This record gives sequence, C-alpha cells and structure tokens, in this order.
Amino acid sequence: MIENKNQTVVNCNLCGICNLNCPIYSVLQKESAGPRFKAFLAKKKEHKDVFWLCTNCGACLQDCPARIDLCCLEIRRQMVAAGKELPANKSMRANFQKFNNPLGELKKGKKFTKYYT
Amino acid sequence: MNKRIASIVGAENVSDSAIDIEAYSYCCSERELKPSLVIWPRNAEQAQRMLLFANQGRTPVVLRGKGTTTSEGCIADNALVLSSERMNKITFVDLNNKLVEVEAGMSIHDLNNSLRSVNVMFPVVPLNPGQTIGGMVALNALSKQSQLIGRVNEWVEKVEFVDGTGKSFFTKKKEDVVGREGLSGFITKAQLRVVDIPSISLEFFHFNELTDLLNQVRLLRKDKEVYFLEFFDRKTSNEMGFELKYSLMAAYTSFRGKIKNAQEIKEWLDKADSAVVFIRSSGYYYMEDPFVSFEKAYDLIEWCEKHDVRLQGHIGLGAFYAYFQKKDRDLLDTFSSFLRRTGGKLGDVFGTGIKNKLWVSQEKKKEFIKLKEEYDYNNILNPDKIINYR
Ligand SMILES: Cc1cc2nc3c(=O)[nH]c(=O)nc-3n(C[C@H](O)[C@H](O)[C@H](O)COP(=O)(O)OP(=O)(O)OC[C@H]3O[C@@H](n4cnc5c(N)ncnc54)[C@H](O)[C@@H]3O)c2cc1C
Ligand code: SF4
Ligand code: SF4
Repeated sequence: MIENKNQTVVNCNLCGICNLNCPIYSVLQKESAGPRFKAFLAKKKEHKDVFWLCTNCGACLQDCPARIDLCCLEIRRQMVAAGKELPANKSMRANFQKFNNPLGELKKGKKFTKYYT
Repeated sequence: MNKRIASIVGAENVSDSAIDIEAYSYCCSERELKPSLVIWPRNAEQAQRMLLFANQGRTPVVLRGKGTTTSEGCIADNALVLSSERMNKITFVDLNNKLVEVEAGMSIHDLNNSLRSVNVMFPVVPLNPGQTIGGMVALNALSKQSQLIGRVNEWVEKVEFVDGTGKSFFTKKKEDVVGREGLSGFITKAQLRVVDIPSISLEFFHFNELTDLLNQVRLLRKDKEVYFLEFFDRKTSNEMGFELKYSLMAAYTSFRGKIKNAQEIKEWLDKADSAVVFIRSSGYYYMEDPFVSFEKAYDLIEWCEKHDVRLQGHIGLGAFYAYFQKKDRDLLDTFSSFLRRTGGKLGDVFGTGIKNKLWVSQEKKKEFIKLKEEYDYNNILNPDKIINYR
C-alpha cells in the first residue's frame, strides 16, 4: 500500500458536492468516475486506477465545502513509483523520452491506440 | 441475469465491475453496503422493464439519485442499484403556465442553471446543489425558502414513476410517491411549477443574548413579507466576518431590508452559503438535521453551544443543521436523547432511510405498509428502509 500524504482527505464526509462540476463525471455519468469516489479511496489509502481519470482541473477543490485537495497528481506520482501504472501512461512517458511528444512518432496515416480506464 | 439486464438497458448501462460495486456502496454516511449490480436506465421505459424483471425474480432493488443522503436510504447489500444519473434532461418547458418537466436524475443545480436563461427558477433550493430532482421529490426536500413557499410537494404538479410491479404512472396523486423515499416507486420524471426569479432585500441582525434573537425571530415569523430567516451560531458568524454574536439573516419579498442592491444581495447570499464551508473546513465532520418546535430552539442552540457543536439553519421553520467534530462521534447518541426529550426529531430533512428508522411513528409506519400493499407487495423496492415489511 502506498502512503497517502494528503491528510486533509480524512475530513471528507462524502457529501458528493465535488461531483457536480467534474468534467470526467459529467461525461461518464457514474460515481466511480467522480472525485467523491477518489476521496472515498484516498481516505482508505487505496490508490486504484480511477486516479488516472482526472484532468486536474481543480473544480472539485473549488466546490468542496471542506476544501479538500484530492492531490490526484501526487497520488499518480506515487503509483508510478510503486509500478502501478496504466499502459497509456507508460507509452506516453516512453513517447516523450523518444519523440518529445506524448503520441509517438508522427507519421502521415499512422493510427494511435486509444486507451480507456 | 447480467445478460438479460443488458438486453433491457444496453451493455454500457449495467455494471458488476468491482470498482462500480464499491462506488455505489456508500452515501454521505459512514455505512458501506455492497450492491450486486449497478444499472443506469436511460428512460422510463427501460426502468419499467427493469422493475418488471426484478419483480418476477423477487430481486431487491435500491433506488438512487446522486447518493447525497446522510440517512443510508440509497445503499443496500446484494441489491440491484437503479440509478437515475443518466436520465437528466429537461423534456418540456411551458413558460406561459410556468411548468417544466424534468427527468429524475437532473441535479437542482443544473436545472436552475438552465432555467436562468429564461428568467425562471425552481424555488426550493437546498443546501446541497448536487441532489437530483428525483431525490428531492422522494424526500420532499426542504430549503430556507420553505418558510414562505413550503416544501417540494407544493411545487410538484405531476410525477411519473414505476412501481415495484413494473407498472407506470404519470399522476397528480403525488402523495403516494412524494416524500416516500422510494418505497412505492422509482421516480422517472416530475412536472414542476417554476417561478420568476424573485426580487428580494436582505437584512442582518446580530445579538449577544439568545432571548433577544428569539424575540426578533418571533416577530419576523409572523411577518408576511419575510421570505426566509437564517440563523448562524456565534463562532460561525465570527468566521463569516461578523462579531462573536448570534446572527440572523432575514430575506424580504419587499424592499424593506437594508441590503437592496442586486449585486450586494448576491454577495451576502454567497457569504451566507459559505457558512457551511467555514464549518466543514474547520474540522466539523458529522452532519445532523435536528428539527425542533420554535419553543425549543433556545434549548437546542444552548445545547449545541455547550457541546461545541456548530449550528446553522432555517430558524423560522425550526429546521437546523448541526455539525459535530470527528472526535465527538459519541456525542451523536447524547444528541439524539436530548432531541427526544425536547420533542424534536432527526431525519425530517435528510430522510429516514436506515439510520433514522427509530424516529418513525407507528402512524407513519402504517401509511408505508399501506403503500407497499398497493404498489410493491413483493417488497422489492428499498426493502429494509423506514419499515420492516414482510
Ligand atoms: C451537505 C448536505 C446538505 C444537504 N442539504 C439539504 C437541504 O438543504 N434540504 C434537503 O432536503 N436535504 C438536504 N440534504 C440531504 C440530501 O441531499 C437530500 O436528501 C437529497 O434529496 C437526496 O438526493 P439524491 O439525489 O442525492 O438522492 P439519494 O441520496 O441518491 O437518495 C435519497 C433517497 O431517495 C431515494 N431516491 C433517489 N432517487 C429516487 C428516484 N428517482 N425515485 C425514487 N426514489 C429515489 C433513494 O432510494 C433514497 O431513499 C443535504 C445533504 C448534504 C450532504
Ligand atoms: S465535496 Fe469534499 S467533502 Fe464532499 S465528497 Fe467531495 S471531497 Fe468529500
Ligand atoms: S480535478 Fe480531477 S477529479 Fe477534480 S473535478 Fe477536475 S477532473 Fe474531476
């Protein structure tokens, strides 16, 4: 289990207000895609793949009455360090190192793999 | 079963993945109950076919909006979750008659945001903007405006719902479903009355003495021009930028209040709404919904102050929100006993669900049993909520 440094999340009482303006929740329309579920998991220090479902826009922090910062980026950093990385992220990092862009070699007509969590 | 359900709602609208099961195991409470499957019907017809199918197999179904209730009404072990989240459209607007029809899964925030462009609004605006219209109808929601305009039931013209046998209704006989916490049917759509965005004025009063505050409230409660009255305890008032005194915000339907300018009014209303932010961000965690008679408001405020419990709320209605720190979990039982002694209750705003079952009167239980017999005799809908039926 990865140590979660974000202590403020213990004050989350799962009110759900943060789901309201989350762009990911708005598109996927399911609880598992929204920030409240991330807070639920972060409280238990369970870092699962859903932490990659985040644009880091900060709308959840702005709406949260308890001003809880989910620190998704930091959690993702820890997940990478612990080898818990999604294929999409792995290939994006490799592409950056090799081609200086996240999509890989840019060739006319080349199809890119789509990744979903 | 999964395949059969997928044939009704489409494979993308049903899930038994571990992640979805976990995500639908909680609401705004500490209890976790794991369902067996999550289903997001897209329309009333799919919901109807789903409930017909569930009733045939006597499969328990728990109904859910956005899961913001604190009373554990939308979670259940081993049940199918029927979520309204993907039924979230406004289907009809009649501005001449001030009527809108809206699917159950739309949040009150999104509804009023959309209606703002045509200068109307749904007037019952609760503290939690995320709650769905279906959830608000199922719980007969209350807000600060309810002092003048009543609860949600006053603003519902017709309700479309599917009962526990899979039968559909679009009816004006709303009392069978409004405030029934999903025990009689899954609400799929509501026809609501809306109003022009009202012009109001505001005034703040501050008091050192509780008796002075209550005398002012006594006067204003009888006043026909008063729209709502909001109370803030001393610490919260102080955090909001006032002196360490009890504060009362009075909103008037006339221009009698000292604050009349629209921009200023907005800023002050935002400030009042931020009370919950001050309270929650300073570590207050549990939230209860004490309801007391006006005569007992003094005792409630005094009790909360003595025990360092934060209090704000709709004092003209006797409906408050009390916030407890995490370390004070044990105080919740003492608080319930105190409320019983004062003749108050819990769950009148946040619902009965599982958590507040002990507050249901015998008379109410009989009403629910009658409803079950009429609409859900196999007791598949929210089976362990409010009453123990069959
Ligand atoms: C911070 C905070 C502030 C709140 N402020 C208020 C307030 O001001 N006023 C107020 O009234 N409440 C308030 N609540 C309580 C809560 O938001 C309401 O009870 C709300 O109506 C629940 O809506 P929901 O969509 O989240 O429903 P859920 O929480 O998903 O469900 C609540 C209940 O309604 C039933 N239900 C949900 N959808 C349907 C449907 N389509 N058909 C049939 N039954 C259904 C469920 O089975 C359950 O019993 C607050 C809660 C929080 C956490
Ligand atoms: S808004 Fe804040 S307190 Fe509420 S569920 Fe989200 S993170 Fe938790
Ligand atoms: S920061 Fe991430 S979780 Fe929060 S609202 Fe934005 S996308 Fe959603």
